[in-house]
Amino acid sequence: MTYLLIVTVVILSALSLLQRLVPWAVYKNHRGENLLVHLFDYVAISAFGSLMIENIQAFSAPSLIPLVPAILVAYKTRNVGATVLVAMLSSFVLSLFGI
Amino acid sequence: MNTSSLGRIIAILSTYVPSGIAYGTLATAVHVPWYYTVILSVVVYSGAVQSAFVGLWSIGFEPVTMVVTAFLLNLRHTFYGPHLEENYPEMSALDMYSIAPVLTDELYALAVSDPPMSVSQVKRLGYFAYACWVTSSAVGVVFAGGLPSFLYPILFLALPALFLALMMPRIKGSSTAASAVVSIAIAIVIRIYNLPEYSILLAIVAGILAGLLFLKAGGTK
Repeated sequence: MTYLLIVTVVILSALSLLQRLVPWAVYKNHRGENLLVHLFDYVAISAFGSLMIENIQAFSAPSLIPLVPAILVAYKTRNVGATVLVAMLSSFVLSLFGI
Repeated sequence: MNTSSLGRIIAILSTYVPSGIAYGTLATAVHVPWYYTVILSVVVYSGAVQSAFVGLWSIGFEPVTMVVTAFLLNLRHTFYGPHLEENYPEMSALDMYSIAPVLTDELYALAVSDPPMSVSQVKRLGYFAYACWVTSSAVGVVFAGGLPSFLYPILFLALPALFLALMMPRIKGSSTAASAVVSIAIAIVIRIYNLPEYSILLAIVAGILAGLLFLKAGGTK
């Protein structure tokens, strides 16, 4: 069991490193083709949108409420820190009301 | 230190510290030995993969399932390095080798967002985030169960709020809006039906395709 566990951890660490590095290294050698440039904005937006939903704990309609003021702050200020703090503050205020 | 640097540090602290503590606490709760909990943070450094490890450990460890799950969870990283390469053409091979091991969803998101950073700032932020994650995991192991439970939902909201803050400024026209709406809608369906975590890749790919289709159909970027 211990041996198997060590091998698994080694494989996981190799995977984590290679999956980050190899596509990047391959792309670095093919820069200038610029085919993917257009794609990247959509990659970022789709990744951020999906990760936002994926990372909401105990997903439900009320769990989205604290994000509403955060959307307004993000839209108005474009400030990452302020948006995060407003979302956490909204969540805290709502928790005082049992929401 | 300017306000945007401070904002990035707040973003990293508010997302990595609670997540790291939660991971350490959870791993300890399901009896993962403390040294494996910390070693995973040091050598794997992926919240998604480590959480999957803890989840699979609690129901009976099965290495093949774990490795396949890790591969699928990490697939989204395929896009991150090339996008950074495009945003930082001055990045050397040495920079790539030093940033890639600490490249995460959050670092990628901050590095490709406005205001732009320098390569050395990306590197410093990456290693700062890494240190936060490893330290927080260890803190979670030590103080397992010590944090008041009402704080967790509040702290955990930092991560979705971070992605929201990074997504909003990129929506500039109908095609980027379509990309956001489609990916979010599919991610919501995935959550409602409790599909495996790696299904998120489907939401990402669908969002990309929606954006490209809208653009091709004459939509604004």
